[in-house]
Amino acid sequence: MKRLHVDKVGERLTRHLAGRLSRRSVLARFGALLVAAPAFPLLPVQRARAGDAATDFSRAAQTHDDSACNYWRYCGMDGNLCVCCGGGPHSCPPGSQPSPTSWIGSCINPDDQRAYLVAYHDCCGASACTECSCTNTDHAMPIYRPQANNHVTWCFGTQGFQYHCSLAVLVGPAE
Amino acid sequence: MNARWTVTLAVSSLTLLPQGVGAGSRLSLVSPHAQPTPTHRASGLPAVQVAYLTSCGGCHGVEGISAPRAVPTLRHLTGTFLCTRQGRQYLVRLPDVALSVLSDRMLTRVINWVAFDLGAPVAAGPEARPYTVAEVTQLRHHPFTNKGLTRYREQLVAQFANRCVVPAGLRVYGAAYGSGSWKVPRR
Amino acid sequence: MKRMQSDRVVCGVAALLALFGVPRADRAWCSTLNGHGSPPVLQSETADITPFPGFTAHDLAYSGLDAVTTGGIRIIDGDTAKTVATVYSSQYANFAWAPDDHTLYVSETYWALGDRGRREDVLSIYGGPTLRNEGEITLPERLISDPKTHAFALSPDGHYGYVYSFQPASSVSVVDLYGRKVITQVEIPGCGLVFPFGERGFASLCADGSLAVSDVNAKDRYILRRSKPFFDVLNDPVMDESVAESKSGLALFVTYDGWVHPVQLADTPRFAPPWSIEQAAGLSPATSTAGQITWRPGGQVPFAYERSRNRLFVLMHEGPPWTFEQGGTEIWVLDVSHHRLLHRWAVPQSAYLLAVTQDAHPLLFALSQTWLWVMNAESGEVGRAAPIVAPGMVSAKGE
Repeated sequence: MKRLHVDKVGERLTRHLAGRLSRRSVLARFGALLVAAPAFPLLPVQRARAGDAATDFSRAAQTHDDSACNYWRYCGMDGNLCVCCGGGPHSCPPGSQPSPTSWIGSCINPDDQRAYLVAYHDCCGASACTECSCTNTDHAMPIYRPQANNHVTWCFGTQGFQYHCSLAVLVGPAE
Repeated sequence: MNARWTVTLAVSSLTLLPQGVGAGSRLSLVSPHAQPTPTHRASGLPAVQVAYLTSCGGCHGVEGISAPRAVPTLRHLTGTFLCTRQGRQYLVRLPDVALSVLSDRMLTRVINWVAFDLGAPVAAGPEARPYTVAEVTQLRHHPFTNKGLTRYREQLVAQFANRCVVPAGLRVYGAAYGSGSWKVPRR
Repeated sequence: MKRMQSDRVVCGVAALLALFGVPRADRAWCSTLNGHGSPPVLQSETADITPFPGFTAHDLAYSGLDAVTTGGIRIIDGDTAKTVATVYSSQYANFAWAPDDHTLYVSETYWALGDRGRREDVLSIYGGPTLRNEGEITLPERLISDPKTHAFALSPDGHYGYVYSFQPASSVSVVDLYGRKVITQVEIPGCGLVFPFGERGFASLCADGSLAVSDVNAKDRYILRRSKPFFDVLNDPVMDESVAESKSGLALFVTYDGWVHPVQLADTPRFAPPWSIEQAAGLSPATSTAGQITWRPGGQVPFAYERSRNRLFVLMHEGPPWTFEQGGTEIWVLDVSHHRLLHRWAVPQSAYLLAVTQDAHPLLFALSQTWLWVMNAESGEVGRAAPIVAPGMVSAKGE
């Protein structure tokens, strides 16, 4: 239940993939059909300079109510807000425990239009909190790219594995 | 952030936090209570750390420390792999590293930062010199496949024991989280 | 039971004791308590089990969504929209139909003390004349996540099961379902999910936008090969819930922006050119540019594929980019052979999951968080509706 920020790249840089992947596939035949390579992630600072920092989420986000799904740093929050379960935006409610694992995305603060890295940790080991369920998927990635996936139950290394709620821990400005 | 798992920053070289933002020595950027939005213009995280955080830092931890049995600890340990030539190659040829979506140049910066800053070892090994872009570019073209990575890592660590200082933390990773009763089938 | 008279309860207890061999426990106690020693009432009915005739072509199975409802895999007869059977499951469970029409496999995880203590990952087997538990196979580990259809799948002949695991290192446990044991664990670093093909092979999607193919070599060992990236993972990744058909090996990987990447899964996969769902409908392709409001695929399980007619059913909504979990207000029916939109059907409420049967008279199932609609897959007519518990995963027989 969460997500990450990558960018629209003007010019697609091509990765040096040749030689390190299977040669046996029919890729040679269909090569032209394939996307040559993934775009590099454009760092938020570059995106901000390019003037296209805002996302559909950030355009509608606010910075005063952290119990609402459109609070700015919840851009990748797909789960239940710990704020509504007795905790805070970066504090697990009593009875639960944060996993040291997380996924890290970036959200744009509409007040200063800057991108901030946010670590989405799950709080684990207490029965599910069903309050304030949000489905924010701004730049969230599928589960085969877990660096930015909010469907994984991020409860590794905790006493209990039960998902309770999710935090949005501010790591720092990304630019 | 919860005090039970907040790790104090003891190492000055670990500059994850922009100056003026991290109050005191804790990683917490924010006071435990209201902090809806940063109020002053702090300098941003260096690009290399942003790349580390968004590519690796979720599982491995913002400070390189995570759930140590499930995710290898990087903090003070990664540099230990620069003990042998194989260990040096290992860090780049890991598929999640070699096939990351970072450019050759940025990947080189991230690996150097992890090996010499975040994961700077207690004692530098014989292969402890910065990676060049050319070296990383060459190595990432040969990611490990069908290698049995968990076992290979164990073998490497065993090799280091004769030549370098091997911290105990290097041997923690690998204790499975899965079934208590499942046994590795004998082939 | 709660209103039973206490003396009858004691009689019942006594009878039970007698059953377990406690001598003369029943009559003495009962006669004493009843006073007048009346003869036992002959039961006109006995508690038994409805025979389980096997799964039919119109059956639908769905799991409860964790955190919203209790677990369990519920089987619904599409012709009546009524529940016909339920099997037990843990939270975070996954399931798969066996090709034999009688067996259901559940991949699940238990901890000795609920969510803590010793952990057991198992593949539970349900079947026989009453759909009973027929044992389980212990797994090394498995992924714990929101429901993911492709985290557990069978080989087309039902001989092997593939269980995806994320610890967070990625691997796949290969299970011999006939021999009831895990054969091996295949590391798939940087990749996830399982899309089976052929006798023993499975493909996985990778974090760089490539495809990994694992299959056994002549020495019966799994070898993994990775393709070049075939989609732009950072800007427009293919969805976890894309459709794949293990018998033919056809996978239709669909991106957030609605590009369909047909891939023939094999040791040497064949990638056909991608086509756009929006273009098939005569619209401009959707992009990930902020502010572009257009029709996009979305939901929990937004796709269903019908083999015989080569049709793709997609839940579509109007919205900006990165709204791939938003429910669909319409179902679009696409001709996969000609990349053509055949129908646009409105759904009564936003739907989040789709499934379609694979018989000559196919039923299309659309599910919201509270309702199931059973539709004629050819006309779109809604035949029946039924209330359901919040669904996690869904699959029609034969899918």
